[in-house]
Amino acid sequence: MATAASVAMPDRADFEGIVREHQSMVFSIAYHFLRDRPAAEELAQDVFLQLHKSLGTLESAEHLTRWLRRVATNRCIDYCRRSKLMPRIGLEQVAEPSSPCRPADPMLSRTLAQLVASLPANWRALVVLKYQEEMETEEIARTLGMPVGTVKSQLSRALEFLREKASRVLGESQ
Amino acid sequence: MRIAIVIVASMLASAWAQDIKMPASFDKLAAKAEESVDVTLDSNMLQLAGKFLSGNDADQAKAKKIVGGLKGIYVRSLEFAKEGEYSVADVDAVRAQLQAPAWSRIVGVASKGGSKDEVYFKTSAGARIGGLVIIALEPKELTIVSISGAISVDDLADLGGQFGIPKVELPKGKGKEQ
Amino acid sequence: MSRLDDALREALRREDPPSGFAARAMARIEAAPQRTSVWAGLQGLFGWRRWRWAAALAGVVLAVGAGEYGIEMQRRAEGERARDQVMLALRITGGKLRLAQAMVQRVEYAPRER
Repeated sequence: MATAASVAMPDRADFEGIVREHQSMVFSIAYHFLRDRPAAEELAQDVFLQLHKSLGTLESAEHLTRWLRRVATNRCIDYCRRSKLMPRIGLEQVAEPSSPCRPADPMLSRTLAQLVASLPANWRALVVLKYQEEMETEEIARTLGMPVGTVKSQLSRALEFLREKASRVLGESQ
Repeated sequence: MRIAIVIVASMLASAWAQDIKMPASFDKLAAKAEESVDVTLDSNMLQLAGKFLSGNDADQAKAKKIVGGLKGIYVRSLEFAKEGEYSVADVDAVRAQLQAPAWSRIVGVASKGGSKDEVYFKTSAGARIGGLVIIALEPKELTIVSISGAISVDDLADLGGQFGIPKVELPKGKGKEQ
Repeated sequence: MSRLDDALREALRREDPPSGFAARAMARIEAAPQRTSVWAGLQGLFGWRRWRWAAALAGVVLAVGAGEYGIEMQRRAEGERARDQVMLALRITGGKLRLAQAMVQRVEYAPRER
């Protein structure tokens, strides 16, 4: 038996409002994953198209946000696998600045973003959700349907990997 | 920090049926675990579950397609507060059951951090997978997954990112290590 | 909080999509074939809140006898529990296979320090 929704079925203007409210989040997840603006836009639109079909199953505004994050992340992982885009950018293509950068340095940001985009898809997903969406480990686990311990350990390994690769640009000793 | 303790009661009191048996020591380990997941679903329960998996939800529709050919799904996942709570012997008792010729180890990787992952396929006629066992070890976590019954590689691949089962190829020949 | 944490937060800040994104998304949605289910149609006809309670009441009335109702509810609870366990098991399975894949890829990634 279908479960009636707690989120009222919106009219066109309301749904467009939902798109505007969440477009930055969804697009950014896709862009930081794929590092390809046209592909990220198309993927983000796919997510909202799917949302339009599934809106009746969502129970609250919080559920909607969690749903968007989960669907956007999973579509990014699917896209990478189908396109054989893992890694999307080879590490050898990531230009390293010649001297350590300060945080908020555009060059550092771009280098780090490229490094993130070179991670295996599932590590990439965890890093994006943690740092772009500022999600706690338990929330990431619930969103992606993974055990908390697995999220913690995979995130730890991803950060260890990033720290090692970015140590020169961060000016940290290995 | 809130810690969610997930305890899923077995639907049956009996031990795991079919492909592998869970060592008796796992019950004692579960008592020490901070988090414990225990899923035991035989063919009857899978049939019942199949009736409640919705075709309108993408994840559930895919799950429904997969479980249609299965005889059982068994998961034991234990997470401990500290390292060293389980032993190699606990896991070797499971590995020993996977030395039969029907089983092939597809993946065996270990990391410096103490993680080990092994994936075994049970081959069957028609290039289909007749069973799947995953042994996933981390310093504070032990997970055994056993799925009996026919799973096609396409079914696994179709789950895509939602369940994250990657495309894997059946082994050619009977080589155990890849 | 480490420098890496700060740097990652900066590098992965949300970005706005290209201008006109929402309009293009709405255009795609409106152009897509509309799937109309009986459930969605009834929701539209009656208003979903009233329909939800009406459907629940109708379900109760239709069940013949308190005994049959109890058995049906128990079966439904068991079935929903089994369904939830299937989903949990498959998510764990998928997560562990993803982890194995990541570890294999990490071996492939590692620089050759020989």
